[in-house]
Amino acid sequence: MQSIRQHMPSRKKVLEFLPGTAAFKRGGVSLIFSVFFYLCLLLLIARAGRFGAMLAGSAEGGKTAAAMILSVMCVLYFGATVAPALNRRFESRRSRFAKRFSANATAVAGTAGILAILLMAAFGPVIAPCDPDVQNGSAISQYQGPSPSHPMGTDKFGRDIFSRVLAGARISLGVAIAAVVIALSLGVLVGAAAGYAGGALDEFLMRFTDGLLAFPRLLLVLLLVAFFSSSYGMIVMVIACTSWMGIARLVRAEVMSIKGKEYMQAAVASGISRIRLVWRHLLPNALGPVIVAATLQSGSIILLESTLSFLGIGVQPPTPSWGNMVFEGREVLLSAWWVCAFPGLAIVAAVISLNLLGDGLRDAMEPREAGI
Amino acid sequence: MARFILRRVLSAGVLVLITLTLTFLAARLAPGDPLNRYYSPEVDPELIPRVRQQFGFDKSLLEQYGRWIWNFLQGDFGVSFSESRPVAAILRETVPRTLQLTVLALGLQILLGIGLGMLMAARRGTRTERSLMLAFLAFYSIPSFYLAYLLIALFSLKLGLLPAANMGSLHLEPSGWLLLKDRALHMAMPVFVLAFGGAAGLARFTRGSLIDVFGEDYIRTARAQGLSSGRVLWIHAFRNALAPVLTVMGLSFPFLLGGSVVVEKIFAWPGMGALTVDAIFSRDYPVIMAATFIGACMVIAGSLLSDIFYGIANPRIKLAVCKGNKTD
Repeated sequence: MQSIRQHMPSRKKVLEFLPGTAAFKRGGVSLIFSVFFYLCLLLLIARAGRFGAMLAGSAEGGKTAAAMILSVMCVLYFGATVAPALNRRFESRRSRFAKRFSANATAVAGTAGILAILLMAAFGPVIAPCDPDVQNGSAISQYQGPSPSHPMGTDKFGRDIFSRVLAGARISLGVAIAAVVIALSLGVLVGAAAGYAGGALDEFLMRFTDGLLAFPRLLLVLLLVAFFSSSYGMIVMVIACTSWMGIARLVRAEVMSIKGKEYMQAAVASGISRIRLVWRHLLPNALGPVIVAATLQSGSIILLESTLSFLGIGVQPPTPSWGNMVFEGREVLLSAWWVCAFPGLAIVAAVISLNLLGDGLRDAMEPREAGI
Repeated sequence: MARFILRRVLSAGVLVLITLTLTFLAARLAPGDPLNRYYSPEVDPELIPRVRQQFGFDKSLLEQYGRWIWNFLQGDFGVSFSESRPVAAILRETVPRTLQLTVLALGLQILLGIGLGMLMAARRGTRTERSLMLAFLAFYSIPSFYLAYLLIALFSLKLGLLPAANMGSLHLEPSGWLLLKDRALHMAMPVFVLAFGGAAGLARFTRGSLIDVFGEDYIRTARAQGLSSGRVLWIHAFRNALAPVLTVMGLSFPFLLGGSVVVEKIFAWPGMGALTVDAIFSRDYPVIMAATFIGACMVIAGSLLSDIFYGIANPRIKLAVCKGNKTD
């Protein structure tokens, strides 16, 4: 009996891989992850029929949507169990970072907000009450106020606004994530090259960056999208190409300050290759501020994309985007306030969450500023 | 100082040239012929080469570019396709209107941003500061078109206090006081919408900059000498915190100009931003290029001014530049 118990994994160890058991005591970010994980499970169980249809491939766009849902669940699971466990294993700078971040109420609120919107985007097809594009032309279904069957009301064509907000989340977040990833790669490349090489290359790259930075961004984006096309790819590329400059300047400054540190000299003295030097020693140490900047940047990218769509140059109707939905509500600001109120609130919520998250990350990384 | 300014002006000139080139390339590389509007099935095919010749499209790209830049620098922006009158004349009407908005918004932004930023720094750690910080974060995150609609819904539609569109009422007696009041009422919402985002950013930045300065030794010295906290804030801290704030203000000009596109569109303000959007939709190339050029010039002038102010506020920078060191 005694020997069997010894070979069984201890109860504590098993519980560690169930989201929430430890987190409910600890609170903070892992608690948020756990709560959202169980929320997702509930949603899936409640809509099991539709999810099953998606997995079987009979629903429209089913397989990719199902894969998205499952990957979001994996991220949540990771955040709720594996990340805190890893954190405890490596009691280090990272753990102090996590502790400070979890203790910051606004940062945790930002994380929760951004997770909620991510879930809305991923689970959209499962939880949406109606098809976002299906019109219901009869006069009764136009401009219906919020009700249990249409939680956010309907628009001019009788389309369900809640379903359209959910679909818009996919587009806004998709554009933002794609654009920020491209902008990040461009910015890191240019900034690291300028900061590491110095000299004429640095001078040239930085003048170029300053030149682009001097241009009114909205005007540049308008110009390019209007001249070429307003496809997703084009919108993403144009936004990315006008968003990398701040990141490049930041990376350059970081690289230049790290270049003089002792551990870099030690790494050079040990005779490793230059690529390895930059990739393994320089960039990881410059990463913190860059992640903060990228988070804040994705907030402003969401704003930019919604502004483009609002002006009628970005995502084209009938594809729902938060920006063009607000535009559609302009004629009925008072009589049907829900048409533009809810998509607008979605934009505000997404951008506020990203800004809170970015500020929280920065405060947790730079203890000097945290007290401010 | 003169050398510092000269250096900055020269680099600004180079920037203007680069923007011009980029604009030209963007317009020419775009698919579609800018003269498409003049071709229709009824047009005699023999006329087409003559139209192209009239607009100089038969020359090589390099020659067109050279001629275009030469005309541009002399203030000849060509003729608008959709309005059939010189672009320069259109710009003479619209640019002052946009400047009215942006300059007023910049003023409001400075007043609100720096004032509330100082308040937050002085009240550090109190509930006032925390609630202001959150309020500014919210303001910073609202898209300007959404705020504009909220304001219109409240002040124009619900309360009927402020007009929602245009620069002034029609059929108004042009007597001084009433006209001024009418203008101010029409301007209130556009200026506020244009200013709020920048003001929020500026306030957050001013606060951070002041708090950095508060940590310096000379502030502790000033406090130790028994100076009042107001005097320390205004005389000792404010000037030293101002330099980075000035840079941010110079950089906020592009945002104001970009913002004016949205604001002018919503409030039907017949300025440059609305002109640009309409020109983009109707593919009015001369107007697009001229508007971009003017916008870029205004932005570059803004950053030039802030650089010069920065040099005045912080003489160390000026010295570093004159010695040929990099400032950034």
